[in-house]
Amino acid sequence: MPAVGAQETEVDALFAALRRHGLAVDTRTASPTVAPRGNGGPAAVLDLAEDLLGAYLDDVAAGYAPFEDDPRAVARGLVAVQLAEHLTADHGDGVNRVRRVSLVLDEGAPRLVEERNDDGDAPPSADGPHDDPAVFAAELEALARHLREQGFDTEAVPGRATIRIDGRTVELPPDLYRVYLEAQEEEFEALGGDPRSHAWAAWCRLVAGLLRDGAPGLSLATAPDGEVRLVPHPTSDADPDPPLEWSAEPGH
Amino acid sequence: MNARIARPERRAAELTVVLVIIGLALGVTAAPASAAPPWGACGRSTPEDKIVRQFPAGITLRCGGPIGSSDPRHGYRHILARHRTDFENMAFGTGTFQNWRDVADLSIETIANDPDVTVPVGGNQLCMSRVIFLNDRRTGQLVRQQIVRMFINATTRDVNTLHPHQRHC
Repeated sequence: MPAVGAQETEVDALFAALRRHGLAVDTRTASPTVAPRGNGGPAAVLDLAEDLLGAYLDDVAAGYAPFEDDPRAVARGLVAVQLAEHLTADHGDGVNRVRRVSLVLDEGAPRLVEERNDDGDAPPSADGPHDDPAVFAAELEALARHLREQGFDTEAVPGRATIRIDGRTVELPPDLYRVYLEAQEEEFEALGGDPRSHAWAAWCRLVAGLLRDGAPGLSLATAPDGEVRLVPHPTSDADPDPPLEWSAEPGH
Repeated sequence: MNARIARPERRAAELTVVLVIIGLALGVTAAPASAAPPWGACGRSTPEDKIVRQFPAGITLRCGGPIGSSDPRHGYRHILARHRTDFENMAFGTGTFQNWRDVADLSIETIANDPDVTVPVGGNQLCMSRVIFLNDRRTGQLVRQQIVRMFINATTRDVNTLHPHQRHC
């Protein structure tokens, strides 16, 4: 990673690094954009103010100062990788849904924030267990609203733990729903911020992504290991429990 | 956290018991679905350098951080924050009950053992990528394949990030 020259800003250097990562950065407009990636839809907007980027690089470099000769160069490389990652990770289903990446001040510290086209609003009721009737109803409606915003013809079925979507259904037994989301929140305890918000965002993205990917319908079910998992409804002509497994080699 | 992270080991044992019982009932033997080794636990204040798991070729997944950040930049916390849903998406519908950590673990292990591509990128990092495969265990049929990219620190060989991608490094 070369040093930034006298005439080159940190933003310029970052855009150059993104181009080396194979991204087409267009800086002719007021808000630079990165051209669509694969089948990822419209261009993503980059909102990276020079002063915030400088502060962010300082922050990242500080973590490497004790053991790197040129921590600032390491920081530039890491931030370029981070940004390329935001813009190209295919979310496991072949599509990147990031539409804007911004540097913002969060409690005085610069932070990279991504906006995706499948971001969902938090449910109105954030207190109490997920299977509390009022909380459950509010979260079911919030999920249905999120799916509507994603373009699905969606409704929560009153009095039922079901969301109907274009002839498909998402079945969420309240007791399993509570176990599932609480397990996710427990996992997200490793991060800063509110684990409930992290879990909710992940949940909304997962459900919308799977439905968009053609899942015939979704249910929560208990796996043999006791973990509650989201599983597909079987199609009429398919094996209800296909023995699929990710592996290092094709075929066994 | 501990209970969840340790779950793959317990799952393997439970699944083995279930399959042995089924096997005895049917008069056949069956191999349990493979399960990833357990990952060390990372809680809210666990040190960034705590090892989650060591992989071949000196590659190490650590808790990462920064601690307390909702936007961690490296290690397990980064993968959890940014790519949990990506790997959960991949794990969805696998009848052998792999979960997101199983798929992420398999990806790191496979890339560490035998990467398809390894290239240096800026900031003393290496980008490594490899295809992994979704197979039907009964028929041996290849159902899907997916490239996964991993970025590691070239000196420490610590994992910075891991995510599915449409192209190799």
